Amino acid sequence: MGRVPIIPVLLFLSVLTHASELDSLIIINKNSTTIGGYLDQIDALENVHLSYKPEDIELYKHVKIETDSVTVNQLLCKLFYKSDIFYKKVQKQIILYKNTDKSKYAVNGKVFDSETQERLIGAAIVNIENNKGVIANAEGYFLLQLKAGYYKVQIAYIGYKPVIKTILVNESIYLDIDLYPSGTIDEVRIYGEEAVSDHNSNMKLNLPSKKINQLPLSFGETDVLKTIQFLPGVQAGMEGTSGIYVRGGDMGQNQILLDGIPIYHAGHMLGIFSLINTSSIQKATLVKGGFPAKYGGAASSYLNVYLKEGNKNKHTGEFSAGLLTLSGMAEGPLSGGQGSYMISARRTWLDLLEIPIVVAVQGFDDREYASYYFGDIQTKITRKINDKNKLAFNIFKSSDKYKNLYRDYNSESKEVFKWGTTAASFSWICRPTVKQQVNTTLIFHQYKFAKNQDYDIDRISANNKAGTTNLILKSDVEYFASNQIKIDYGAEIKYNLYNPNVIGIVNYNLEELIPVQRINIPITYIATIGSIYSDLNYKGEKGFTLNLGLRASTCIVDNKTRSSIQPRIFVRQKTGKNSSVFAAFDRTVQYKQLLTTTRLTIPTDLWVPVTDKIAPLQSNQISAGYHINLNNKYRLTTETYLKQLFNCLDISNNSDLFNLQKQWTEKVETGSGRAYGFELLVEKTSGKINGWASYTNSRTFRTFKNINQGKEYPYRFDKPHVVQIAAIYKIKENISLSANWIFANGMRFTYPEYTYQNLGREFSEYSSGSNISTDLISYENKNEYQYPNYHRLDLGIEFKKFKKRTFRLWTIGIYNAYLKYNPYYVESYDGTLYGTALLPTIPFVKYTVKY
Amino acid sequence: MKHISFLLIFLLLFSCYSELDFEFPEKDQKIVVNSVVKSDSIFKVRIARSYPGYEQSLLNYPYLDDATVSLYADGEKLEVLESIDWGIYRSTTGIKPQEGVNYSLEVEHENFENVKTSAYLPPQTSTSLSNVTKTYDSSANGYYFNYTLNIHDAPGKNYYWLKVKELKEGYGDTEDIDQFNLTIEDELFDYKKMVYSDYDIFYVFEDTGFDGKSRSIKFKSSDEGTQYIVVEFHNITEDFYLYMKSINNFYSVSSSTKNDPPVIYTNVEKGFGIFGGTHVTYDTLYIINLD
Repeated sequence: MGRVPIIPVLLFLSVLTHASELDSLIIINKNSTTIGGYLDQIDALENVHLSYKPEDIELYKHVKIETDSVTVNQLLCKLFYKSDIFYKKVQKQIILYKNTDKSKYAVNGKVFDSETQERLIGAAIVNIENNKGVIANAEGYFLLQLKAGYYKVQIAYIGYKPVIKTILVNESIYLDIDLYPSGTIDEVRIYGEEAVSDHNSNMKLNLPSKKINQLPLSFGETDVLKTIQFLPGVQAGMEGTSGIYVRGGDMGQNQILLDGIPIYHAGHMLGIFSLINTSSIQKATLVKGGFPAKYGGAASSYLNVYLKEGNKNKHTGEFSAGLLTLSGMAEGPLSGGQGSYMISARRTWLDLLEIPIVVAVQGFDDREYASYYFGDIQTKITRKINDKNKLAFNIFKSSDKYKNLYRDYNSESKEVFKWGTTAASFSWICRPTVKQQVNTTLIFHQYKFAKNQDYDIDRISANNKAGTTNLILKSDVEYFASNQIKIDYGAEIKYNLYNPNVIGIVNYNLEELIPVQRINIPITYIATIGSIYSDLNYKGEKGFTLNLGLRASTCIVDNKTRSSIQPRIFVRQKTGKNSSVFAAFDRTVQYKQLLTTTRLTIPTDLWVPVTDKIAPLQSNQISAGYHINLNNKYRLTTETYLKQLFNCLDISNNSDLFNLQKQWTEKVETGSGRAYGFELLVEKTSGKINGWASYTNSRTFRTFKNINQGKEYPYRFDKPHVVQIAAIYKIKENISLSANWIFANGMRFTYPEYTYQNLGREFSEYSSGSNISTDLISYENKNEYQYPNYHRLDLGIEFKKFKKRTFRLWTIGIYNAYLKYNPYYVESYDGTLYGTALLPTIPFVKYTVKY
Repeated sequence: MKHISFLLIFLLLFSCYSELDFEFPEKDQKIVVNSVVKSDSIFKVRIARSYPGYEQSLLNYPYLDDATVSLYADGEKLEVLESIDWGIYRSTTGIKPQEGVNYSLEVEHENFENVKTSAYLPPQTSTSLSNVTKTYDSSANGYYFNYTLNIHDAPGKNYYWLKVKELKEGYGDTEDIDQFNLTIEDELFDYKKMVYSDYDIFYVFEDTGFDGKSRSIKFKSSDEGTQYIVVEFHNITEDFYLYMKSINNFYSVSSSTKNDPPVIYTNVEKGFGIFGGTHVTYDTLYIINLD
């Protein structure tokens, strides 16, 4: 093949680029080390036609190519890196030419796991030259807009080997980038991380599935909510439960979004397990400050859980057997890799053994037992229509059932409690232009609680139902205006049906079976909430970042309209190569609240809407902090915050939520709250030992007109000092040790400090029955006392074994290793406090097979 | 609460019960004053003391017989009440409470902080009974009396306390009629809006909605050999109302440490108890020849 002088006009005949010639592989001949020599090697390839003006190119310049074989594309990039010689494939030829083009082009694409083709949400794509870049969105999609030229771009994601690509940008490029798992969660040097990362503050904490799965917690089960309890600013509720309390807020001020589906009751088994099976999780993100305007409906935090889409290359799965549960997950390609499925399921198994044992021991006709089970199933199906359109379909179902049966030859009494969530969503993800992604989603969500009690002896029968049903339609648009500016905007309409019916009872006349008392409170609230939002994300020069958001929403309940404007602002300024300061102001508004009389996650906790008398909960939070990355081994983040809460809801002092004589609206009070705190997080991100340690110093208070004589009092989860440590030690490639330790001040409680006599017999006409002489109790201040300090150590060890076709994992450990009795609740007798601890030392073992 | 039964299965499996290393700070105990100013009675007060929360006051002897209890009328000292026994102190002058006078009590005791409280005698509210009929209810297979209580509410905020009693054949004294045998057909007595005791035999309510107006309340009670019915109607002070309301809630709410103890209203400064006031009206309905 001779050298053909370039015909400039060919440049304008550019048609569809076919990568085949540029992707041809060259075995490098080390004898010819000049540019001309390498060009000869390219030209010698059978299917490659090379054209250039010799006078434009320094043909005798020496260039060292280290590798033995490269593609034509890679070789040309190396030869002309940083020069003005560009190349382009035009028809059958590769034309080298001197560039005069100053235009900007789009470099867009998606980042995937090489093995599963799972999109990698939050992967960093950074231009190494100036340490500037972007983060892949929830679809793994990114867009860099670059001037014509050569660039070295690093693509990195936690737990994966980073890739550095040299690219020539002389037209818009689409790149699908595969990253290979590194086998560890070691983080890698990410160029310009300070500039691109959106998680170098405590406000937004990312948890990839690998991190979640490395911390086995109670009963050997990994749990996303319990892992989050180890993060600064997040308090655990009762011992062992998965409820979270973020920055002084209560349990109902957090929104858990499972692929965008709001989950209202997130706990199984009194909250000891969360609803979300970790084997299906791709990534979780907790946001507790600097809220994007996209988020609405919760005052304290948002937990975004992204489910895996499923392996697009092959059918794989896993199966686990633990002390309490059996679980499985399967995933694989659909339509020849154009789509994928993921299905995971989990169920407790003790009840399956219990009933046959009870029948065998007690007999069928005369038996008494209580049984409990929970289960959940998560399914996700995706289908790519074309490069610009994708459909996703989610189904989620969870159920819990508790049954208490007493049967003898004469009668049968039983109590059955059933509750669960059913949810489905359908999403259309569309990219009409490289700069725009539109995600339109329709969501159905329903939570139901049903109780059936039937007492033969007392002739009382009760059938009670409560729940919430939501239908949501939303559309979120991401507009990548430039490398510096991204605009998110969208709208959402929600139709919420609340049925906070607590209990209904029918008492029957014993002899005639005629209902003599009916108590039923069938109250239904319909709330229609419309929201619009817009977020401006700006990354300026010199490491300045600004996120400016505004959310406006309106809620209509009972013909009463409530509206809110929620401004959000987040600013960050780099203070050094690896350090930055940041600050945020957030206003969030919540049109529903959780009423709970206990500190457990129990199904009878009521979600209630705003009413004509109860205004929406509003939170104003300001926060500021400092972040530094030390030698890329340690990350240190400090943050302080101040939060005000308005229109908090709580049960009135003298009300019982389950007292049937009143509506819930008459048993609640609205008041205010405040919280402040300091958080410190130190992460070790590489090496054989990695993990994190955090310390939170915080206070949280409430004020209600008719509670505690109107005086401010500490909130029950006011725990001034909390230390959380999570560490993983990789002993060998296939053995790792994990240890979690938590210390927190005990939960607050009110203790009756005084006991005294009622009016007494002297004034008996104003009392009745036994109340005449019953003692009354009183106290000075609500929540004045604290449970003993809480602390606990969990240890776990994992043994991995790679077989030809399977991967086996044994997880063995011990919960509460040094047997600390952390009380669930306390009682006092004769001046001594006694505590009931639910979870003492519990060894656990779990076996997992992946294929 | 029954839903705590969810816990049982886990408690059985895993729970541990142990004494905790915890010391409650000792609080100074307080004087307890209980008294009701009544139109037809002399001043009578019961003085007691409180005990630490973990003790039961009635297992001890909670009464203070050696306190100094001074009675004041509009700021002027009337007398020091005489200690009788069991913490009871009463007037020795035989003075009965008068309307329009503010009475206050000061209680001193060497071992406790002095306490102070005040109350007054509310005006009497005019009431009457009318429209008495007797009907047969086939669904319940029994006879019922229907009658109307007419209340003439004075302008201003008023609080009331109501009880219906009956005397049955063969009984020597009147008995309270509980809510299972008494129907009050009035939205004022909607269970959602009012307060009543745990035994459902008296009702406490406000004059919201009929301030300064007349109000008729219809009653229906079963005839089980009833000879006469007495409607006991008290105009009570706001403090007494709030106290009764909180007492009622106290008994209806669980008071274990799983929930916060309910707050009992008191108008005794630096102490506990109630110094209330009531002016009672009795309306009697004799059941004669109603058939």
